[in-house]
Amino acid sequence: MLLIPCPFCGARDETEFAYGGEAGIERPADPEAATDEAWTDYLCFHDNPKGPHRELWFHRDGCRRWLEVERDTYTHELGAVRLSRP
Amino acid sequence: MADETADIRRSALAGLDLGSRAGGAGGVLLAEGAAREGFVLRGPAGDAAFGQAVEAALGAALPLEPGEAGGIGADALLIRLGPDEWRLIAPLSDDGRLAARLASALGSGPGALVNVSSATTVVAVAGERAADLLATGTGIDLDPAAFSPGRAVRTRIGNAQALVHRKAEDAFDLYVPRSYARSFWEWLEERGREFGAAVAL
Amino acid sequence: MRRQPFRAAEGGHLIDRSEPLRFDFDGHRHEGYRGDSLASSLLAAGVRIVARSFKYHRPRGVWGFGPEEPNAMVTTGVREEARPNLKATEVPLSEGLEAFGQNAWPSVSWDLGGAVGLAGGLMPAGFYYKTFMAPARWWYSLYEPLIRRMAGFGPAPRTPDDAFYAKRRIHADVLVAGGGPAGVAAALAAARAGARVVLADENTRFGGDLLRAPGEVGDSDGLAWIDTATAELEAMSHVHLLNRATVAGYYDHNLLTVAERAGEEEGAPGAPAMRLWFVRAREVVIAAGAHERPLLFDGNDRPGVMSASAAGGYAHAYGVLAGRQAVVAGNNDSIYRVARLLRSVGVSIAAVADTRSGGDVRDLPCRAGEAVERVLGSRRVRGVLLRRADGRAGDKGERITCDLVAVSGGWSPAVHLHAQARGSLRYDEERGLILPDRAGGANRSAGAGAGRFDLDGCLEEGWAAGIAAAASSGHERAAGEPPRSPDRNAGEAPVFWQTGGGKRFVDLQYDVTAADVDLAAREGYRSVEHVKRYTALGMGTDQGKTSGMAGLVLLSEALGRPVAQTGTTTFRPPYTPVPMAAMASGLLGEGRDALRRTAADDWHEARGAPFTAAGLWRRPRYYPREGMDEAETIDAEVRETRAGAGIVDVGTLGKVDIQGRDAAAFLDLVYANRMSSLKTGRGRYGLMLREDGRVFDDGVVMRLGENHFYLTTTTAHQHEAMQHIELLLQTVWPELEVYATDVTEHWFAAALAGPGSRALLERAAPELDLSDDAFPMMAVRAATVAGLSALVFRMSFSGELSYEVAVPADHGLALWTRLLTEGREDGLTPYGTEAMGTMRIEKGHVTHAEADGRTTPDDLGLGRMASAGGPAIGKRSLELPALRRNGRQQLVGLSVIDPEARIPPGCQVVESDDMRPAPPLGHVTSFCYSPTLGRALALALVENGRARTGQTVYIASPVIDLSMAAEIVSPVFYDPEGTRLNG
Repeated sequence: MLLIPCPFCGARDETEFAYGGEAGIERPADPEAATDEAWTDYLCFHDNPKGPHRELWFHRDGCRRWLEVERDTYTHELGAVRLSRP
Repeated sequence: MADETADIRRSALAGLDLGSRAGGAGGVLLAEGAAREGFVLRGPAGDAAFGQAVEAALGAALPLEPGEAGGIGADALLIRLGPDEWRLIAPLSDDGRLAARLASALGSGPGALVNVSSATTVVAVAGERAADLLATGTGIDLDPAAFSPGRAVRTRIGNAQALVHRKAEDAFDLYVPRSYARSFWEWLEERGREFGAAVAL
Repeated sequence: MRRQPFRAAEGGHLIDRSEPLRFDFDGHRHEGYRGDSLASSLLAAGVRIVARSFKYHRPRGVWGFGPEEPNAMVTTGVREEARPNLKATEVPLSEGLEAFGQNAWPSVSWDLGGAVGLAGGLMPAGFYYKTFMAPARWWYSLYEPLIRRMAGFGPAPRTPDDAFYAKRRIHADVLVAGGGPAGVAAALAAARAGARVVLADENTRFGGDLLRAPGEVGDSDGLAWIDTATAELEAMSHVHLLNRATVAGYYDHNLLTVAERAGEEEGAPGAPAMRLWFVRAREVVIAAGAHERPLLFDGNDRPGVMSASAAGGYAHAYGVLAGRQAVVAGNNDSIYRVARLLRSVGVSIAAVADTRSGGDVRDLPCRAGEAVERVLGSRRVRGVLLRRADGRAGDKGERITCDLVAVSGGWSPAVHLHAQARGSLRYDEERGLILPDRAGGANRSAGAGAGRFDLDGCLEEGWAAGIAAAASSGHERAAGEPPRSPDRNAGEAPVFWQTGGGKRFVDLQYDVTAADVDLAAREGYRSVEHVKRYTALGMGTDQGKTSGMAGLVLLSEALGRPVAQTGTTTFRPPYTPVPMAAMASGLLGEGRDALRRTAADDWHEARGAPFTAAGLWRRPRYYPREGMDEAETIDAEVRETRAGAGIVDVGTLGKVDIQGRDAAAFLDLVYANRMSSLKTGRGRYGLMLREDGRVFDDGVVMRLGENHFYLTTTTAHQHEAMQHIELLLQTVWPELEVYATDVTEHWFAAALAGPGSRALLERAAPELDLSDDAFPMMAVRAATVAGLSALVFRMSFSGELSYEVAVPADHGLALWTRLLTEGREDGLTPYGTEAMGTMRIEKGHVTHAEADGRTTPDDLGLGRMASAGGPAIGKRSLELPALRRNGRQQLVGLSVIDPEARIPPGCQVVESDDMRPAPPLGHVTSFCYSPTLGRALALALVENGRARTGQTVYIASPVIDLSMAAEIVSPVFYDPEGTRLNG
């Protein structure tokens, strides 16, 4: 079970969090102007690396903030963790 | 028309009939805490005007440390639970006065105040094994060096989310969601067997 | 005869001779002492055959001393108290203990299955795969019962285990796994440095190898030093000591499980049978020790063949003679120490056979350069055949009479925890050792577990590891001088595994022989993982602690490649078996997922309502009535509501308070339809989409003020909707000033429905004007209802005139009972989820059966709500070709002709009734019998459904041979004009 260092609450068990997929995916500012291809890209084509990955975790049972967590998907080593909205 | 004098308030634990379970003596005492008023306060922690408005209304500084539970007078608390979230807890006898002052001080500035008085049930866990009992179901570090008396945090304990207020080294008030309260109590009693948990009224 | 014929007159530091204990083994009464293990007391009693082997049912005795034991598998207790698959070496003796040897019927010493052993190579490697292939129908009738009787371990108890199992979380700076000399030194150093230390060890007391054999620390006895150190640790408040506690699993981010056999502790009445600790440690010191390896020779599984250190240990720790006359054989110096220990309790030493040429010691009958070729005797050891270890031709060997063969093939460091943490391993060719290499986490290995076999080295490494671990966790107080020992003999063992041929067992527990490993290699198996599964080598409860290394070397030899290239199988937790009951503890019933109850739950229960699960909530299905069955009762609840008035508990719906300057703008982004145009005091049905355009959730949005909204979510999506809202606020539109608060728990709500609801509410809330002008559909008002401060919404799920009344949940039961009292004269009917579901199907309202995560608004006939394009979540996706294409499944009603028809859930909708396999047009999502219309109704998702209105299709389920004609109709069966909403 991962131990996620929440910037607000401190280190907490993974079971307090909900996983939210890849972080930093930019939503097209004007969805109507996006081509079908660009929109589908935004919607479906996310990274799934073996290795370092930036991802979102929701601290459901703590501060209720979405965190951006750098996690190695192979070793589970965590890098920087920050609040999505400071 | 309805009887105005009847006691209309009913605890989420009323169905358990705690009175019939009371007694015994062990390392932990479990009790239902008195019902309290609760309000979620939201607002920008870094906004000086917000902080001043809160301080003016409550007569106490806005707590800024995570988990800090600032006292307001003798019986009320303001707890920092998130970057833009606090919980105001006041005795029922306050009758919404603190919240009303807070609401009017916030005025049209940023922030929000939401009544959640019915949202939680208070379970008091006290005794020399109180921390051990909680450690059967929570991942947070309950060592007083890591979680000192006077502080409060939101976490998960057993089958429920709980706001844990450590009143003293061996005394905790757990604010658990109302709909979970009965299941949570039963879980706590079952886990408490190990410590000879007793029910107090 | 003396009751403990194999107990020495004195000695044994683990036993208390003043307290004899009686116990039964396979129905025979024996005696041992307090402090004995079942294994030591059986040996003391002279019981040599303790179990039968898994496959061949060969008689087996005690091999080891602790958790590495592969042979002595027992069941303790009877019936519901029965605990199967315990190792006799790990069962503490207690008064009245009942134990049974396993894998034998009627008993271990007279076993019918043992006849299999006479047939020799009847079950070679891969036996299961080869034998039980065909015909398939024989599997159930013949093979499975046969295997179950012949193989397998102890029978699983058939009754629930009502013992109490505990769990506890603990945080530590340094967890030390293993309480031998290295572990105790590490714990002492780290604790003195100021670190919070947990020290866990599997034995009843700390000491590790010092329990089995004496040693010196400083200038005193090793165990005395252990006791002093233990006392010092015990006195420190930041140290937690755990005995009888095995560190079983090493998981991510230094979370380790420790299985503490708490129930065995003396003077702990009511203690849990086991306590499973979850230790989150900043640093871990792995001081797990090493397991003695067997030697491979013909008959090396016979009762009386034993690990040399175990034989010595029984003498030293328990004063037990594992035999009268011993041959001690091995490839390292430890055999001399063992021989002297055995001699000290009165075992006569017939020979000490050292495979190496040197090593002659004058006080013992040494046989340098010799090894055991074969064990003589079938049920137990009667002697051995010793031969030249170098296998020189013409050497006939020499028979030596004995009843104990104590063997040592060197030591295998217990690298399990290191490897579980994904640390890498390296093979030291010269020493024949698999050793920890790079650590896979914040841990370090020390002592025998890291390949240091001398006492001084263990102390030195343990101490250094403790200092380093404490420093890494921020504690650097001076810890004083490390303990030292004059014992610096590393006891190195050259690699030597086997002699001769015959039945040479590698894995004693699973009866895997050297020939089996050879055969697997000849049959083409190359991967050590495959050989493990094919031969079952290392798959027993001992997980190959004794057999793994020998198997690996044999396989490498057979394949003609270096051991390092063969590699090891993956080490997975747990290190020793942990009962499922311990893992499940606290997670059964409502322990894992709370049962959520609304404020009116006690009333529902008192009325005897059966409940249904809705997420974690329980909701009343209906309220039973005298003389009516379930269906009649539900029909009555529907009819009475539609004709008069009904009340239903809707306290489970999710509720969210939204405030802030940008609240209205935000809700326009969250919902597919516009919310900013709402006037204060009015509400609107809202549809939330996922970004991929599928319907995510629906509910009602009420505007309470310019910047203040109250919205409902479905019961199922309370948490998901909040998470979704927070995600958007925190990652997509962080510039918006909006505060969302989940207020589900604060509010209780009840819906009053039916034409009589207005009159009823008028009486309950006299100051509220309920006229259509003052309180139109989708309006919200604050009011006093039944003497309680409330919010009243006019909305409808049932299709009738309807009001929802919400009060703080503490007043919920009061509201519920007062409204029922108020409505008594109107015949107010409480109804449950069944009637609610029937009425919503009659109205064609969707729930999660229809909004199943695949359907778009248009699929559900709600396309107009989301028609205008915009930036809201999910809207852009609605324009993608896949979501606009012809042929999507659409919501329709199915009108079934037969009024008695009942349609089971999940039926397909097909075009013809010939019951041939065909791609379905869709499926039935909801079904009810409509008491209002007097016939069966269904909602379905059907390909191009709306265009098929009027067509006949078939509801089919080949599984139950059902094919029923139905007409496709509008999903709104009842009051399509909506006139009843006005009462």
